[in-house]
Amino acid sequence: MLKLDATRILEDILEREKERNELLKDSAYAQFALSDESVIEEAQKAYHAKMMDEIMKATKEVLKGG
Amino acid sequence: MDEVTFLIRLLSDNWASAASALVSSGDITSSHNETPNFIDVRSIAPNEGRRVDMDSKSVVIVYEDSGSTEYPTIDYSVRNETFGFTVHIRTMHRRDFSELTFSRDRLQALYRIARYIFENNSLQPKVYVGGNSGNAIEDSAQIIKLQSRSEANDRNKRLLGYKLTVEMKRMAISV
Repeated sequence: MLKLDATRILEDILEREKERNELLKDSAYAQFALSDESVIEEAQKAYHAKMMDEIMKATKEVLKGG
Repeated sequence: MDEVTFLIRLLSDNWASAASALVSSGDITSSHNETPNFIDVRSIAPNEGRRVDMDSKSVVIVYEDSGSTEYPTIDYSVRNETFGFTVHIRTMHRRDFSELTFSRDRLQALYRIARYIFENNSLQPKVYVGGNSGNAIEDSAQIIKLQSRSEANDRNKRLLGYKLTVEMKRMAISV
């Protein structure tokens, strides 16, 4: 049975992406930091990838058990 | 050497020779033979908002996204490790470039150079002392592979980018 806390996963990823971008903004490479909108877009992409990965893992487990 | 540093060293130590090989083979033009700035965000110093003019108008930022450990033997005497990374290539899209597609072509060239390095070091990637393959091996892994690429542009900041996912494995490490 797939049990995922989707909200927590999204919050963790969003926090991670924001934190990474803030580090870049606060450096000599600030011009390469993403805009706030892009950070959210990137977090969404990472979230989708993570959820797909988790679903694939869970599916494999179910198939093994069957 | 931690894994992000290893990946950055693998790219930076091999960048110039990979770029030259691709220029020679005609895969990239010499105008795009540029070495970007390699960034590990964990080790860059705060700059208090000051901007610095850099030689390069491109960066390669490396993040570790995941790391997992397995102990495949019954006595837990051997460790296998798998690491997942994001390698984000970003280049400035400038109005003063001579051609409209210059930034796009630059990004493509940077991607081809990174891909070349991963493909030519996929088995037993190694980093040498001083970046010279004549010196002792400083660190190594068993497998490194490029897994995917996605576009990651930022119109508001006039940045073009490719986001690569890379996997690295270290296997059969005695505990």
